[in-house]
Amino acid sequence: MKTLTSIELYVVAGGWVLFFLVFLTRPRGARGSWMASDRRSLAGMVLQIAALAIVRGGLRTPGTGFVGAGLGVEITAAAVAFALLSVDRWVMGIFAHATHFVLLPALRTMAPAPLDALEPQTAGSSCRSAPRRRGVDEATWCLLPAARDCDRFVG
Amino acid sequence: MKQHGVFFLLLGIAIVLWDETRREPRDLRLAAKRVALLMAGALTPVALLIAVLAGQGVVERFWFWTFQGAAQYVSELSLSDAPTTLLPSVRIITRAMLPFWILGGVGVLLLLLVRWGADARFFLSALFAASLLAISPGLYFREHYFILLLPSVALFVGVALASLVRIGNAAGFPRSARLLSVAFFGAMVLQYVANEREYLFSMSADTLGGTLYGSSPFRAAIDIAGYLREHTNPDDRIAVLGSEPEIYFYADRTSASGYIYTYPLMERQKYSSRMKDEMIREIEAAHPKYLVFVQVPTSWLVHPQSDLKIFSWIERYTSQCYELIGITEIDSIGQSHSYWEGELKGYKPSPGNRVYTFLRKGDLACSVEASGFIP
Repeated sequence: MKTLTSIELYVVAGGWVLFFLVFLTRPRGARGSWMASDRRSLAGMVLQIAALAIVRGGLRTPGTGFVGAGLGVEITAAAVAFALLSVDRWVMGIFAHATHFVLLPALRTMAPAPLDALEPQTAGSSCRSAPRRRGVDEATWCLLPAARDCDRFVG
Repeated sequence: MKQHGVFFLLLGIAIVLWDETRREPRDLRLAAKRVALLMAGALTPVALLIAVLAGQGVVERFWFWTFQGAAQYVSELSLSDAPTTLLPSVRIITRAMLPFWILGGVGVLLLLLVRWGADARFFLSALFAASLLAISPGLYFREHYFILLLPSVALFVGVALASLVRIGNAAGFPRSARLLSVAFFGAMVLQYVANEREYLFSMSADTLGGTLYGSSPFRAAIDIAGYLREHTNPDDRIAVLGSEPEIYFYADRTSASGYIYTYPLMERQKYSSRMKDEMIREIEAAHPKYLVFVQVPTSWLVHPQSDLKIFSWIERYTSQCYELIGITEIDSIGQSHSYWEGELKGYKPSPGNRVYTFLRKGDLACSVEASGFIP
């Protein structure tokens, strides 16, 4: 799960960097009354980044290495499906509806780790991540009733 | 409306409670503390917003539009109306990506049929339930509401493929199952990209607008706004009678009325008459330099039970206080042609939607007989 957590962090950070690059290097800068609007937008972005840093730095397990494999076909499929569904013209993909921008950060903040649900369990990987989420070591975790859900502990 | 986001707050609470019920030993105080923290996080921006609005003296209007007006909005349709709104929307949103939506539906079934962990089952089911609830208030099922369902559908696409792999593992064909799932999903993606290649890679914004919105005045709005921007000062007010707030945006001019779109005026709800009166009052008081009347059905969404008195007011107000200086015609694919000032002399109307632009006859205040409109 560390890989996923880490990738997610890099993707979000990369997205912000890209957004800033586009924003700062656009050929026609803001003029007149739009300058104030631009400044407010920048303040909004800085606030969001600060919120992300607080949440990820203080309340979440920090990411580790970017590489390490473990990304399943299923997770890739879910991510690709979401990307394509999001740009689909029939749900306003091209128009970048406000909901597009709110949805993922909101879900990510609430959910413990949405992609956990899809992590391949054949190698017992989600069993390894589960103890960490519950704040216990793996040996203790194996004794808990919740551990029965993991493939490696079932039959 | 955006209030349906509240269902995701409920999802957050459900996740916290689920997490706590799975913890050994259970700690109710910790659970309560986490729920309280979550609620505080959700309510803090709302409280800050209310504080700012209170400073501006507009809390009452905020309350009306956010709660009272919204409550009327979601009570307009009854449950029996749901199929007539849901089915057309489903047909539209699945037009290009039906295989993905079907595979997502298969994923819902496979989550129950194939062995999945309790955490996964709970989270995916709860997210799905919250997403369904979030697209349902008012039973309008407008296409962009379904954006809230996309994460859930995407995750269930993953569940379907993961389940296929798990079934293959159990049957002793792990490699074949994985290969099959990759090939199947790859074919779906390729099919979508091939079918939508024009949209994805080469279609112009104008053509795209035409394919999606037909004779709606989105392209025309740019021309009209350009004219208004050139013929007004930044301090001048304009009024758009119709649901085309993009005209204000493109023109960079302030609205003469708080009603920058007019759908609520046509809804079957108890505030619609009051809203019409208020809009009329605001426009007559501001007496804007330019007034734009959008004669396009999708800009009003008139119901059989709609109160049409605003249209008779528009006719009298524009004829007494304004002169027609522009007509913009819109064809069935959204292309527009405008006739301004002198060009109107030889104007011959052709079939299609129209947008009329009026210039006020004088700076002095002007109003028409209120006859039954304004209390």
